[in-house]
Amino acid sequence: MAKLNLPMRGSPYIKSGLMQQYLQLLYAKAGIGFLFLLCLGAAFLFSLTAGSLHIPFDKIITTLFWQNDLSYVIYNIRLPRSVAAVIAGASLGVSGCVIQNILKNPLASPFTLGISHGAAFGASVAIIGLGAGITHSCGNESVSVFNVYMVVFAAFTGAIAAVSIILLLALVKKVSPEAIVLAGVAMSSLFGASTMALQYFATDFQVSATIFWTFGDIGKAGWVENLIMGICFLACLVYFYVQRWNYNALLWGDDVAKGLGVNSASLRLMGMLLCALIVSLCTAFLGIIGFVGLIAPHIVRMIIGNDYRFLIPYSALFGAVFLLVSDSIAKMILSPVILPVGIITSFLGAPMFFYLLVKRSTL
Amino acid sequence: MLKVEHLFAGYDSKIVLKDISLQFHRGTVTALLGPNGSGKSTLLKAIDGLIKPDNGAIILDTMNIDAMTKNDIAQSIAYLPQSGNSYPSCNVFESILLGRKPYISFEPTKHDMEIVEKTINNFNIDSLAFRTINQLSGGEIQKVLIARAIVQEPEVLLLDEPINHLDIKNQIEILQIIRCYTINYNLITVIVFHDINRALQYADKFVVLKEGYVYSEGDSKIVNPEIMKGVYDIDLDCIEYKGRKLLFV
Repeated sequence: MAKLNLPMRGSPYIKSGLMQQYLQLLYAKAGIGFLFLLCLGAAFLFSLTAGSLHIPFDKIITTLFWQNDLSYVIYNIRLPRSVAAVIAGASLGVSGCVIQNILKNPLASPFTLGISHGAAFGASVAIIGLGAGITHSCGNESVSVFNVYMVVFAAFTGAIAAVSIILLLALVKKVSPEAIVLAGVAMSSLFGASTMALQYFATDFQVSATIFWTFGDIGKAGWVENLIMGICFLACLVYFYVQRWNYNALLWGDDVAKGLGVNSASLRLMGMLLCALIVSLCTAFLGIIGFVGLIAPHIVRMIIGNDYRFLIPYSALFGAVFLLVSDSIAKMILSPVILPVGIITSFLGAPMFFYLLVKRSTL
Repeated sequence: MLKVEHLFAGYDSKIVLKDISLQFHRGTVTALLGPNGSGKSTLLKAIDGLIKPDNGAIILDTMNIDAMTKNDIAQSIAYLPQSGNSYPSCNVFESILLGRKPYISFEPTKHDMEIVEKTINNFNIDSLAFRTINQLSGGEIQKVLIARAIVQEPEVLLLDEPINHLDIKNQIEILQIIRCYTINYNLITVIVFHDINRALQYADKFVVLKEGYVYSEGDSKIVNPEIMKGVYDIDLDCIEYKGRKLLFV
C-alpha cells in the first residue's frame, strides 16, 4: 500500500493563502451588504417623495428636521408608511429565508404555513360575523372597515390559529418538513373554504370589505403598529442571527446537522413559531403582501450564495428595499389613485425572478 | 477506547439493535459488515447519540455518551452519513469550515480557518477550495465531506459507506486518507463497508452484524466463507494472493 504523506497531529501550520482568499470573499460579501444599506437609504428617501401630494425632495429633507406646514403630511402619512414598508418587507424577507431553510423547500414562504388564509378568515369573521365592517359612505370610498382594531385582532388570531395547528402537529407527531408543507397547503384550503362560506352568506358590501382587506395596503400602518411590528421584528432578527451557524448546518440535512451538535427539532419549531409571529403581525396590520417572502431570499442567495451569516440580514434588507420600491410605484403609477402594493410586488418580482433564473442557468 | 455495552436501540417502536456489546480501539480501523437492514447505520447513529438507546450504554473512555451535551459529542465524534443525492450550493472552503461549528461560539477564529486550510492542503484539494459543491465529482465531494469530519478534530470517526458510488481510484485514495489519519491522529475509526475485499484491505478489525445481533467479531480471520455464508447466505470462495486474502463468488 502506497504511503500517503500526511503530517502528524500537531504539525505546524503552513500558510498557503487559502484563508486569505476566503477572508477576501467575506469582505466582498460584507461590501455587498453596504450596497444594500445604501439602496435602502435611497429607496426610503425616494418613497417619502412619492404620493398624491407633490412635495419636492429638498422640501422633504427640510421638513424632516424643521417644523413647517408640511410636517403633518410627512410625520403622519409619509413617514409611518415608509417605516412600515421597511419593517414589513424585512419581516417577510427574513422569515422567507428561515422558512425555506427549516422546511428544506425552495418554494416555501412565510405563507406556506397557512398564515395568509388564516388571517383572511379571521378578518372575514370580524367584518361579516361580528359586524366590524358596517358600510358607510365617506368621500369617494363606499366600503370601509369600521372597527379597525377588531379586524386586526381577528386576523392575527386567525393566522396564529392556522399556524398553531401545524406547529402542534410538528411538536407532537414529529412530522417531516415535507409533511409540514403539505399540512400548510391543507390548512390554507380549509381556511380559504371557510372564508368563501362566510362570504356566500354576507351582503355585497361586506364581501367587498373582506376582499378589500386582503389587498395588502401599507398605508394602514400608524406609529403604534410600526412600534409593535418593529420590536417583534428586531427580537426575531436577533434570534435568527444567533442561530445562523445552525441554519448553515441544517442545509446539509438533519443527520449532518445533528452530528454537528444542532438540535434540529427545536430549531425548526422555534423558527416556525417566530416567523409565524412576525408575519402574522404584518399581515394583520397591513393585509396580505405576497411574493416578497418567497423571492427576497432567492435573489439574495443568487448574489451572495448559501451562507446564512449573510442571507439572514441581507434577505431582510432586500425585502425592505423591494417593498419600499413597490410601494413607491404603487403610489405613483396611477397617481392620485394608490394601488394595493401586493399587485406591484408580484408584477415587479416575477419578471425579476425569471430574469435571474434564466441568467443563472446559463452560467 | 469506545465501548458499546448491551445496547438496544431503534426507531419508535421498532428495535433494530439487540444486545450489542463491542469495543473499539484507538489507531484502529474497524469495518462494519452485514447485509442491508442488519443495523450497521443504526449502530453508527446510536454511537453518535443521534438516536437514544432503549437500553445499555455507549462509553467513550470514561464518559457515557448519553450524559454528554450535543456539542460535546460533536467535539469528540464525527459522523458522516450515507451520501445523499443533493448538496447545497456552498463552496468547498465554507463546507469544510462548517466542521468547526462545534467550536464556534460567535464566528470562526483564525485558528479554525488555519485548521481548514491545513486539511485542504493535506487532502490535496487546494484547487477546488472555492468551487461550489455542485460542480465537483462524486469522489471530490466525498473528500470534502471527510475533510469536514477531520476538522471536527474528533477522537471517533464514524463513516457510513464512504466509498459507495466511487470509482476504484477514488475508493483507494479515500480509504488511504482515512487510514493515515486513523494512525497519525490515533483515531477510533468505524467504517460501514459493503465491499468485503476492500474492507479486508483497509481494516484491522471486523464486526459482522446480522438482524441486529453481532454475528461475529475479530481480526481478518473471521472474514471467511463459512461466516459469510451464515450472514449473506451465499457461497464464497477464498484465495490468498500476494499475502492478501480475497473472497469471491
